[in-house]
Amino acid sequence: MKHILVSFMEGIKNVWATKYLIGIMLIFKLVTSLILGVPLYLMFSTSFAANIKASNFLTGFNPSLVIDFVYYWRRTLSIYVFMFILTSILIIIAYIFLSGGFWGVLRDQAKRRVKDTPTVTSGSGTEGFFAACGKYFGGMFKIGLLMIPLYLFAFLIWLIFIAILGMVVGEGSLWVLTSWRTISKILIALILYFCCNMLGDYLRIFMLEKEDDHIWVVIRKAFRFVWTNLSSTLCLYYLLSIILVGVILFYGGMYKLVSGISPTGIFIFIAFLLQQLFVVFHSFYRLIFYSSQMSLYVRISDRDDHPGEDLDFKMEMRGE
Amino acid sequence: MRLLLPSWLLVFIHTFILTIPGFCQVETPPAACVANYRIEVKLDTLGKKLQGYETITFVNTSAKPADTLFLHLYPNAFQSDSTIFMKESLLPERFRRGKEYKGSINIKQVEIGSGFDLTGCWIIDETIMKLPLSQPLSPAESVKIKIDFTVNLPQIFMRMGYSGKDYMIGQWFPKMAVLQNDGKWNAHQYHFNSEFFADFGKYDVDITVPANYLIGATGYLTEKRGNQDSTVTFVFQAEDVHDFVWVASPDYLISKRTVDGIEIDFLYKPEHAKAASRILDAAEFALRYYDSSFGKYPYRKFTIADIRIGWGGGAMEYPMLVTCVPSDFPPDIIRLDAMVLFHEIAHQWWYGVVASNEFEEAWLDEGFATYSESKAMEEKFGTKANLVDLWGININDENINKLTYLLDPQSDPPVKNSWEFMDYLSYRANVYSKASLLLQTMGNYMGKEKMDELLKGYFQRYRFKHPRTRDFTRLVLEMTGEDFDPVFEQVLFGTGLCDYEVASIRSEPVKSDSTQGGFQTEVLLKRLGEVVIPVDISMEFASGEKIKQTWDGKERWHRIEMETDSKIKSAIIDPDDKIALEVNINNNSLTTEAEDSAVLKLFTQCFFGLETFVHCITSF
Repeated sequence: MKHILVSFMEGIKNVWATKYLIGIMLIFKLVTSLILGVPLYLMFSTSFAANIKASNFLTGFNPSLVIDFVYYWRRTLSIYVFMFILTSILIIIAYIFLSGGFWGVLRDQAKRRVKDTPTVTSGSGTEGFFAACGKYFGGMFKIGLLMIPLYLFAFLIWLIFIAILGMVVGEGSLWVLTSWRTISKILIALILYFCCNMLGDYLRIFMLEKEDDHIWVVIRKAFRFVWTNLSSTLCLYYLLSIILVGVILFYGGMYKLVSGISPTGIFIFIAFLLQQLFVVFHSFYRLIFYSSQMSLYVRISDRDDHPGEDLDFKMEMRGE
Repeated sequence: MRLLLPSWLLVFIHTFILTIPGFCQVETPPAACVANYRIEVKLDTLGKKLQGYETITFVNTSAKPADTLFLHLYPNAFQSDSTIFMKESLLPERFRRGKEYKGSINIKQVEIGSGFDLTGCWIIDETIMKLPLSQPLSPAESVKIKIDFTVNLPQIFMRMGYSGKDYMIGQWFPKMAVLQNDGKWNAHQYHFNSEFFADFGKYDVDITVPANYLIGATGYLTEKRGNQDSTVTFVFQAEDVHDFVWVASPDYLISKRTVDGIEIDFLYKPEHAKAASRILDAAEFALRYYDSSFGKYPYRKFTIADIRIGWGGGAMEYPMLVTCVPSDFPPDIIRLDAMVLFHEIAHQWWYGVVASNEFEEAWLDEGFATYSESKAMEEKFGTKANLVDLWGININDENINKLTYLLDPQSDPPVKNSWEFMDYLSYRANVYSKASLLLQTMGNYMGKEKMDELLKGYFQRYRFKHPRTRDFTRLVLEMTGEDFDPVFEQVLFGTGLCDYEVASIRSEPVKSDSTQGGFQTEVLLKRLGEVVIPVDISMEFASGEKIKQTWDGKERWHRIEMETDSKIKSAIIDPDDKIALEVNINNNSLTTEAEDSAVLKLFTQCFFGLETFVHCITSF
């Protein structure tokens, strides 16, 4: 348990030491969201800027305005939806490119901290980041493709689970969210989703570490690593996830509090600020996910390579 | 096995029943009994068949003699995948091809009058049977037709059939078509997009089912007797109705409630036990609300049947009985049960009693029922969020009508033969939603009280009759004194849209160097759609002064010019939202200063949504 908590703390330290990664991720999200959102803003302005009834939006949702908005812009919206899908695909590819940089930099940082080994990627700072982006793009892309059958497999397992559940206890209403049937279905779906994500993360770690190996060898090694260290990898992932859920709930509460303020310009600004703070946190926390798992991997592999050595003692000796 | 009672006994029973207090609580004379049915039917649960024998007493109420009788054989719509019904349907391929989805009605024997055998003389064209008479039936003369028939039930996919042990038996017996006053038969094939039309009459129906079955049906259960072959016979009687439906299941449970002398039965499957009280609450409210709004429900019995049986089970109206499927949605958040029930129960007034021709003018019942449902939802749950109240998203029933209307507002007018609509979407958009929005618009223009009076008057005048569109439009003029005919012409018989716009507003100083002088104010209005309705315009000025005007909307544009003391701030067409048919309320107003806050709020929410979306699609 100790090395899980240590990995988590190291993850935070590593991300904090490479703060520019948070900036890159944040800029990526802002720019891509703006690309997707600008056409909407233009349509909103045309329909609502000089519309007396649009003030209804300040106090709540007005379906009449929205229905007529959709009907009026139906042709533009159909093109927008098509472009939205295309842009989303491009965003995914762009992120796969950037993820090589995130993982590469965080791997170097983890190794520096744990093993005091020199930088693996060429250069440092943003130069190193983009070098890693280019270097690992192919591997990251392959793993991205591999994730599709992995999710489909997880979905199949979930379908089998709900079929068995239905046979044993009968069908329940999907909409009664508090029923134990629905809760178990959601829980199993979440567990499977998290497992897939976690496997994806370790695949990426092994792709970075065993870059000369064939992709199937990487997959085999990554799966074996996760399987042989299942309790550690799962515990760390769920620790990270539970904290994230806690923060999301806290944000929800805060937003509800802000929603109580009368809908003036200041309110809109505060709400926007709160949302962007949450987005910053989300970017930060995703990197902590990467970094913590990387630290765990480095610690376990170091322990396996040098049985009997106390890694924490070594780090203390280095003054970390 | 047929059980025939002596005629003197029937007369005695009938007279005795009529003396029961409340049996015939009707305010005006009951319906003319044009087609009366005496049916004995036995359900064969192994063979999935109905063995039936019926005696129809038909009266020629037209002004001309009839030499042929026309009857509907609705089950034949399912006999093959090449019937009109199946060809028109958008049903998945499995329903067209699968043998289990085939159904039909076989006529074994027909006798006319006192034993004249017409077997083999009939002409069957899919769902219509023609019976040539040896002697024409004179006006006011009646004839008895005895028919021996078998119905092969399909696995249910459209209002009739079985699903496992459950049965939904609608449109199942040979049924008289309507002989119009001009001596022509109003007999259309069973079309996918169409519902039904029939004369009023009296139904005496004996239904024999296995002993463990429970039945719900049109009419009053007058007797239940066990038989020696482990079956039970339910005897139902109904008067002043134009159809007879029944449902049967061994799993049904029953919950009852009495409301103002009307017994409401809810037949439900065990898995819907929790829904029973809310279904009965909704039914109680609807019956009371429609009673007070339109006129008294003329029967003492009302049945709701839970009909989640296969793909074709759903909400449907029949005289004295509606089917429904209790919703899985949380009833306080998405009030689907109430909406559907309010709609189907409204059909007891607009279809059941005021029995329009659903083949040819379906808007008269579907449009009226949709409008009534909207009003009932408003009355019960308020004007805002009366349908959906979820995470700050408030949707009312009228929003859904508007949305449905906008899915296809221009392909067909509401008044049209049901099967001639381009597709089901156009049928739904125009017959249900556009018609309802027209009634809503009328109500907004004439005021609630006048509208209520109009609908009460329409119900009273045409109860147990078959009004046409022109009957309604004439009554509007007669009762309200307002000439809505131009609007009816455009909306009911046309496909044009209603769209008004404030194109521009401006105020210029009368003298350019003056700071205290007046302003020359100009407001340009445009009619972008084809529908012409007089509209109110409200203009607000910087001083706070408000000026209202009316524009008849006849021209394509209209310019308001006036000298004012202060600059114009905003102008709005239809400030009270009277025109429910308006397709774009976003261009109904214009302000001189932009309402940035609203746009910014909307956009920041969308922007955060997009950021979350980007986060999600990059998380794997």
